[in-house]
Amino acid sequence: MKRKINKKRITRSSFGAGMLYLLPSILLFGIFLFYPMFKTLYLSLFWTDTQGNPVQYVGLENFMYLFESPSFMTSIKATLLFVLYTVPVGIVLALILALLANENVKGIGFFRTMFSSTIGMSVAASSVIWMLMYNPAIGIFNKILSAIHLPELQWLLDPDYALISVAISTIWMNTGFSFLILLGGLQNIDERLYENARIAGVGTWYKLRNITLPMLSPTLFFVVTVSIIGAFQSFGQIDILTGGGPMESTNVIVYAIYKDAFINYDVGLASAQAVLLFFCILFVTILQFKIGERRVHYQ
Amino acid sequence: MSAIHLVNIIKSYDGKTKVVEDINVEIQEGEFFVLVGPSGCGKSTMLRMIAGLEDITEGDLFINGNKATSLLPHERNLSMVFQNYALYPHMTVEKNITFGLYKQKLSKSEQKKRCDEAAEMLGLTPYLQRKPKALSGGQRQRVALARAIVTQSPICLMDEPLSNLDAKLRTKMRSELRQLQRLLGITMVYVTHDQTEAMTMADRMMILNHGQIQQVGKPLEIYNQPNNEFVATFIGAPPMNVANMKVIDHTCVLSDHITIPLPHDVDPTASYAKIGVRAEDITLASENDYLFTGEIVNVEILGTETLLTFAIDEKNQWLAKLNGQWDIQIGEKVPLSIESHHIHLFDEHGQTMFQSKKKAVSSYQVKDALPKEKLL
Repeated sequence: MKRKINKKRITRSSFGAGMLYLLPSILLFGIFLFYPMFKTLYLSLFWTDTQGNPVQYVGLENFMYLFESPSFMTSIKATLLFVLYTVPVGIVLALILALLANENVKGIGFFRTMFSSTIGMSVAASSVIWMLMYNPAIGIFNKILSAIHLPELQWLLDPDYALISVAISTIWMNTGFSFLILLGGLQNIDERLYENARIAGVGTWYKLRNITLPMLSPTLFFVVTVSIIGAFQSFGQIDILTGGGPMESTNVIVYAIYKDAFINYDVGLASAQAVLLFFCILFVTILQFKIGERRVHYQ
Repeated sequence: MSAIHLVNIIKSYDGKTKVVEDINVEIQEGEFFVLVGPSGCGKSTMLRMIAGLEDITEGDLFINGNKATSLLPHERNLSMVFQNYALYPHMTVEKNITFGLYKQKLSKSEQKKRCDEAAEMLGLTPYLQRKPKALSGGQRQRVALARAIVTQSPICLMDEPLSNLDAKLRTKMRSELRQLQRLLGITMVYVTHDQTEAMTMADRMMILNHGQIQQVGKPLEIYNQPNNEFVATFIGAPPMNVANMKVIDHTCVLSDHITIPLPHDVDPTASYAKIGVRAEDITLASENDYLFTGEIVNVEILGTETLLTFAIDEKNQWLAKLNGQWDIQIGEKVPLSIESHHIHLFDEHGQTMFQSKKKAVSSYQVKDALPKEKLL
């Protein structure tokens, strides 16, 4: 009998201790993540006034409106295209750089620092630099184009090029992070695996396909997942470079949410879009894990 | 013709300190050659230079009589087994075994045939479709072996292949490896830090310390006639007992109460600084060969033998190994004896100055000692 009581007391007190350890993260997550998330879900079911206060419960009407709105469809299209432009190219580029920087040659530290340096640049600062480079009159890109006798482009003002231009700058901004993670993954691969390959005498391409990529697959999977989520959520560079224009060609969902909430003061509609974006990312991530599980070789 | 010939091989990473110094050795075809030494002695570096995984700083390497100093690893026609096996975790056992075989221009069916043969030989057939993760340590080790066998290279290099196995399995694999090597007739260069492995497996062995050859020879030769104090104490379990001593009146004086007469064929005028005695050469004294009394500080009974630890002075302890089981108590004073022709004498640099020849008993000597009818 006595023992049982003791046991219960211990369980209760250890539960309390556990909660105490969790408290800081629970507080942070609660205030900055869970509360806003549920509030968004709640608001997406209401019409709101200009202050963002719910005025009338409308059920799924905000969502119905979005699915019929051509502007929202443009947003979705822009977002998907943006993901498509930035993720594959960005990862392949970072992988190539990581493979180069993984070679043990003199002065490789310099290149490793260079290749990862974009991680230290804020989105805002790099966007301003890219804006100058894209400038039709004084930007370096048009200078290069005219130097090789090609027609100059209105990089950020032409609806056909604006999204690609933003994508290029985004790839540059993300390279440092992806590079660093991939390099870490490469350095974790057992050198003996390559030594065995050297004794067998297999070619470079064979080594890349049969050793490096499979061994790197958990890292690659992580980078792909994080990059996709990051691309879905890009905001800063779009705000600074194009402001969603021209002709809504770069009006990705996150930017549309921002505009609806803080420029048009339609918080209900913005919340509905945020909810859709949430489920969209959730769906893609689940899909990735389902597919990824079969392709990734954890050691 | 020697399979591998190392001529004045030197390895240095920074151009100043030499990791491996002036190595000259010939390894014969079909020989099981063991490189043994404490960690950091340069044995793995030597193996990796033979494999071509490390550059040779100076000197020449010949494989089958051809100069191979600057050949690429795969041009040397050898296979290698790594300490951690270096299996590809994402490939099945079969894929692991046949890895790189396509480079030998073998058809798929020939690859499969070789893989099946090797798997059969090593008892891996039921596991061919498994991933390494689903295998035990011993099975992984066998996969690494199979991968070396399928290449049918005449030379196989092994870098501490058994050190990741538990003691029991290691003993079993020692014998298996040796039989496999004999069966296939391959030249084996085997690196280990474990002197038991070296003693039990080697046709010949090389003992390295600080990148320098200490001795090359057959295991028993090395055990019986060590070149120097390092070899004497490195080879053998327990290691040889060594102590500082002075020669006074044709007698080795170790301490106040321990003196051992020099054998009569020893030059008493040479400078001797240390004496070495194998543990099994210290015996319990009978009335007429009593030499000194040892106070026992520890007893280990192993079933077939009994190890006695006794103090020779305040700081140093020696081990005596007695055959059989002895009920001796700690603290007991035991009369001990050493036959003087069993001693090894070293100078102050540890070089061997004297030791008598000793040979293993050969099988016909045993036969001669038995009545004829018992042999049938």
